[in-house]
Amino acid sequence: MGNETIQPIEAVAEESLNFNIDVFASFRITENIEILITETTVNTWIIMGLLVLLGIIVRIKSNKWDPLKKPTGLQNVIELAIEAWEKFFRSNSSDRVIYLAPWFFSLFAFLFVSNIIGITGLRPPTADWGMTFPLAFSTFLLIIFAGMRHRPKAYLKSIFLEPFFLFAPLNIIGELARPISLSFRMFGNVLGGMILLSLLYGLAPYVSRFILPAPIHMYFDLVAGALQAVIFVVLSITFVGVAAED
Amino acid sequence: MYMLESYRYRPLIDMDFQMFVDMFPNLLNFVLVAALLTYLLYKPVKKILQARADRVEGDMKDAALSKATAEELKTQYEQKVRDIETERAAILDEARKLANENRERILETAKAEAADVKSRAERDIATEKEQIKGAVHQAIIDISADMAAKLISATIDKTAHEKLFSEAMTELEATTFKVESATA
Repeated sequence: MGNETIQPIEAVAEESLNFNIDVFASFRITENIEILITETTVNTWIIMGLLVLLGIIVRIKSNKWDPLKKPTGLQNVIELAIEAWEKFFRSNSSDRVIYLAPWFFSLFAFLFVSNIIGITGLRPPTADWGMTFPLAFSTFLLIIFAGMRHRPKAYLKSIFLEPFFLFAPLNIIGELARPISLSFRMFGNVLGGMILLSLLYGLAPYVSRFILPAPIHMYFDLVAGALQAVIFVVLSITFVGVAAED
Repeated sequence: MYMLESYRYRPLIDMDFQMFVDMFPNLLNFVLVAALLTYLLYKPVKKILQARADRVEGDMKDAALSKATAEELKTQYEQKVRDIETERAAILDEARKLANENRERILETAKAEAADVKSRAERDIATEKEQIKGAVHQAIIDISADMAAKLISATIDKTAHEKLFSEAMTELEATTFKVESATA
């Protein structure tokens, strides 16, 4: 067996460990602005399709659901999920911002499906900082919105005058750090899981690829994915609740 | 993974303007899915949950109202029972008082009647006693006179007869007096 039969690690990495985001199409709007249809975009559409399909099924079926009868089947599951979500939201946030519960419910559903979509072989959209940062930024905007809507004076005071005015720059940096830390936490965890699994697939013998990765998928896609979705949403609703609450 | 005519990729993190441009479609995608999920899934289910909660709340209110009505009725009932008890006690007191008065009156009447009967009986007894006494006296006189007449007519003359008669009368009077004394 000669040396030429052994693949160098660089070759393996080049062949199967490419973590860049594929671009399928692009639309140039201006000279400097180009809209890219990336792997993240397509996978996001797939996830959107799944969630919207579920929504359409629920919408159609809900027309026949009688609120005065005992719920069964899908109705039972969906009602349980919504009730549990509202309870969860109230316990981690503020009643003042309960109107934001549907938004964060959608965020949780989207992140959960995005994080676990890796078990199908698709690249999780959340393994792209270009996806996690806009979501975290939306939380950042909602924090400011909740603070300015429910207690504007106290909210501004908490940023610019607490403990006293010299701390304002630190407070501002703290506020700006929230979307960055939220987005990088999610991005790093999901990307880390994806990289580990890619390494396993790339380096493990071909036959063992059918069995060995299963428990790793279980952990990195299901457990860590669900956990990261929960962490992202819990932190988001807590920040929003704190901003709105006296 | 995907069919590409000319392979093009975007680096994982490339802090350039294009990266931030790429974020907008992603954010719009999520806003769209959030709006659709809210409209298609969240709100209809929330509406059903709200309808059920309203129904339960209505039932609870009805139950509370029924309970309040029952409590009020119970209070009224207890008040009535207390009123009846008070009235019963008053009636009983009145009845006892009346019964006592009646008893006293009946006793007084009975006593008066008894005293009347007794006095009448005593009067009758005394009258009858007098009558008997007179009758006995008269009978003794008659019998004595008959006996004396028969004896005298058979044995003595007129002078002796009168003398004996006088002596007999004297004795008889003395006897009568003794009888009265003994009777008294």
